Amino acid sequence: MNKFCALMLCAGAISSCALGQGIILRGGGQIQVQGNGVLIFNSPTIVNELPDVSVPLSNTSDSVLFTNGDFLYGKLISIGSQREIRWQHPDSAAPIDFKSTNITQIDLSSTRRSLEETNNCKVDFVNSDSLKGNLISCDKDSVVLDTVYAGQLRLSRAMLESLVIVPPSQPALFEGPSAIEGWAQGKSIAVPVGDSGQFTFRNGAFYATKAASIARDLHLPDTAQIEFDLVWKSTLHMAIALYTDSLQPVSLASKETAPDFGGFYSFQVNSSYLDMMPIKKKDPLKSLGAIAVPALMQRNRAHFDLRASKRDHKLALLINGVLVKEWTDPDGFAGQGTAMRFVHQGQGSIKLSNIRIRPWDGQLEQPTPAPTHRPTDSVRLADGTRLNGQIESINNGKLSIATGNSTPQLPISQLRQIDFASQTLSSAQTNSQPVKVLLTPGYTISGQLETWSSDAMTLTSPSFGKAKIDPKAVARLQFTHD
Amino acid sequence: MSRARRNFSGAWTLVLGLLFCVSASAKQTAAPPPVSGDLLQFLDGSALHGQVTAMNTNTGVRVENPNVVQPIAFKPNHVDFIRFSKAEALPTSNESGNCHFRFFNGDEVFGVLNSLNDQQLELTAWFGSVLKIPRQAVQSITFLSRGYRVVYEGPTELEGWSVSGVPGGASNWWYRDGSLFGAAGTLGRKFDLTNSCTVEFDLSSKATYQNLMLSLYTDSIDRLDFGNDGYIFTFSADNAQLRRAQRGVSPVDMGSAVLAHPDNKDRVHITIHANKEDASITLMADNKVAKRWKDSSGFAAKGTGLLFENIGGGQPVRISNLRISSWQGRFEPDTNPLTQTNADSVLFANRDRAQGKITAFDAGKVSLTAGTNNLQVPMERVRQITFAPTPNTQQQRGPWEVRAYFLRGGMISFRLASWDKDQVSGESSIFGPLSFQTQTVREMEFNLDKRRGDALTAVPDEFGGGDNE
Repeated sequence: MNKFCALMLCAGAISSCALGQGIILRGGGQIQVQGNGVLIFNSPTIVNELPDVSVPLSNTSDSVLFTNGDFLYGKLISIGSQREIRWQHPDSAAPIDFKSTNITQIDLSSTRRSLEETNNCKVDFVNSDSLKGNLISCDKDSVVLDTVYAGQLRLSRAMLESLVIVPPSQPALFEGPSAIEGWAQGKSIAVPVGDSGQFTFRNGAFYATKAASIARDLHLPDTAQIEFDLVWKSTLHMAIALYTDSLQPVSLASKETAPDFGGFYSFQVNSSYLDMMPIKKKDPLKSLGAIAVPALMQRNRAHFDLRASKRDHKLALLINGVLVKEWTDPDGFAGQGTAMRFVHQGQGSIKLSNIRIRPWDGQLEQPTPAPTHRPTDSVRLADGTRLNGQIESINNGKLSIATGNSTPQLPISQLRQIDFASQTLSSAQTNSQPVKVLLTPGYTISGQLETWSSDAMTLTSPSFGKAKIDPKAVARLQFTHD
Repeated sequence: MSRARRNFSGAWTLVLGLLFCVSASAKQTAAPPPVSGDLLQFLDGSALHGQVTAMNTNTGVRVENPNVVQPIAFKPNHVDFIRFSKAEALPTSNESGNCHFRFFNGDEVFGVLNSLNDQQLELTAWFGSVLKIPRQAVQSITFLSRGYRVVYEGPTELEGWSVSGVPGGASNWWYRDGSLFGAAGTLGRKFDLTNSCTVEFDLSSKATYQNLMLSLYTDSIDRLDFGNDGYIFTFSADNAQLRRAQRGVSPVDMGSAVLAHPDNKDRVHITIHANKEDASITLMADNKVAKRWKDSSGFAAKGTGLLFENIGGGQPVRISNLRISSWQGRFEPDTNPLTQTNADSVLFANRDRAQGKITAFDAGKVSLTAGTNNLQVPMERVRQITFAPTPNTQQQRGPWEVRAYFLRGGMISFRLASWDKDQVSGESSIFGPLSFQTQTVREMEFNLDKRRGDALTAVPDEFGGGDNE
């Protein structure tokens, strides 16, 4: 009972566990809550895997992590052709030469990173690598991408899964937090267990170790992208109110007797379960559809990216860049305000940071079908049109695709996404690569690390062959061992 | 013990975090990659295992590590501590230490009080030496229970413990850097506990619920057996239940105690006093009494061992700073941290305390002047003497001022001159020149005046080190 309380009910603005509402588990995955409302979850979406987009913390030193958990700070001087690693530790007069056999990871200091990005294109590979750059051209064998960190890379089409045009970032309407001023702390947090407290601010983040609420009118636009980072310790248990007009928390259990409030969405975030609930006075509690995310239990941080469209009555959620759920509210858009409220329910500790609000163009990147469902290339245009066929070229601002009967030439400005036809790969292309390179911000390439110095890293990748990469773009080197 | 507890951070956070991540995705948590050798812990939270081969002021701390081509010589400026993989306690007799001496410089020694006057304390330390110490350096003298002796302090390795996992499964308890980790199954050991005993340990878990059972005075060290005559605790997140186990009858529930667990703290220091003469069990959490159970049927214990079982469904628990002591008599040993007073004070056996000026020790009595009263207190009525601090004239200590922690024998600070595999030598401000066998040191702390809290900000833990202290 308690477990399901935690999963289903406490994630509201304020817990209603204390009411002792009955919970009935039925076959078919339905959960019904009897009381002042009914929640029914039908076959929730299950997300078992999420990419790791964690970026090393901003450190002034590099750090090396060994397979046994040891780690040292210092400075990476070089990596030789035999993967011997030369390291300078501040307390050692002489450089230290490590064998790479038992080294699992090297994080590079954020002070090394200084590259500006002006990329318009994100490329995903079949081996889970991903890159950003500017699309130059494409032929039957390769795609040429111009990158700020490695110049022009000729990418093997056989290794490509998808290419997405990233619209230019809209200027942020809000970025923070930068202080606690301007935010409204919750005056009263009714929690069933433990004490209530307040959010504290330090180093660009809000922290809460007890039940607490913090809210602000962020002037959410009608079509919005809402991003934030959460780090949690022990249990993750939050409710986030979207498009609310109230800066004070609302108890779902007693919402009918609470002071008047306009409708809002309660995005409920638990360690393994997420939900979106439209909340209105005098309306029964209901769910737009829950999501089981066991992948969240395997980590303690995530980047949340919510999209909202009042016009289409839609909300969407991306976690670590992966679209995990789209919701459509059949009763129209419930949100009547422009504020947001973050409520920590009191279990575990949380850190909330990098809140960013931007206008959104209403377009979502579509998931790429599995390889068996990609017999041909598939092109999605800005107006939603899809064309299936064989992309023959991209050149001089035009995309040429053979669709069978015709070969239309499409202006590249209309292109939004390409899902490439799956191809048979050689063992050299599918073999696990010994080094994975994490580029900022959050893109990865894998391959054979030839050498590394402060000026250049040489990497041979099954996706683009040998390339010289500017170390300033590198945040982390991960070594795999047989 | 308190210093070692403070070091639960950095690499530990990483390890426990790793374990938690693994446990979340698998029912049975596998042990992390094993580590071997001494642990060199830096103030910035970083850590390296290896073999410390030499230390001196010329060459620094010399470490051999299988992952480096040449041995590394570290300057000690940012070393937090070194925990040695092998340490051996010197043999002690039952008469070797009925007093716990604490000194204002942080040193602690167990031994026998020989004499004490205004100028000097003379004691026979547990390792046999007679030490003469300026009285102003003495912070307190705690008179321990009769026959008090530390029978176990550690852990230092898994060897000696009996581990039983899930049938057919891998070992579910493992040792790493001064801690025992358990994901499931039992961990037991015989300790020859024939008298009263005190069991102290730190219990940590990243899990919301840390379900750990502890069987006291058991003869069954490879499985939890309710048919043994003894006592069994079950610890959960904020609660501890005690059951009396007895051969041939069902276990008797003796009731529960609430464990204070503020601010989502994921570690609690547990102290259990099993008092044979009084037929009572006292449970303390973070040095505060949670409950005292009186067994109206008499002291049930007949076994001599100890057994832990993690019943937390694969969520690992960590047991560290485990100390087991044996003693006799009606009064439990006072193992709590010292309560410093501004005046000299005497704590009596009945827990009353008198403050004033200690003027003499003579004929088995301590003289305490409080205002116009002059108390003559027989020593057998005294549990602890605490001296008022003298003005602090201590100089800033450099990185080679170290504190050695002895297995079952307290801690002594001194300026390290040299360390090799056989002998450590240096000079103490209160004990003078000293040297001792290297193998008796389990841990050596450096940079005694540097605040560890500052270093924790560099530890890769979003919440400042993970301890919530």
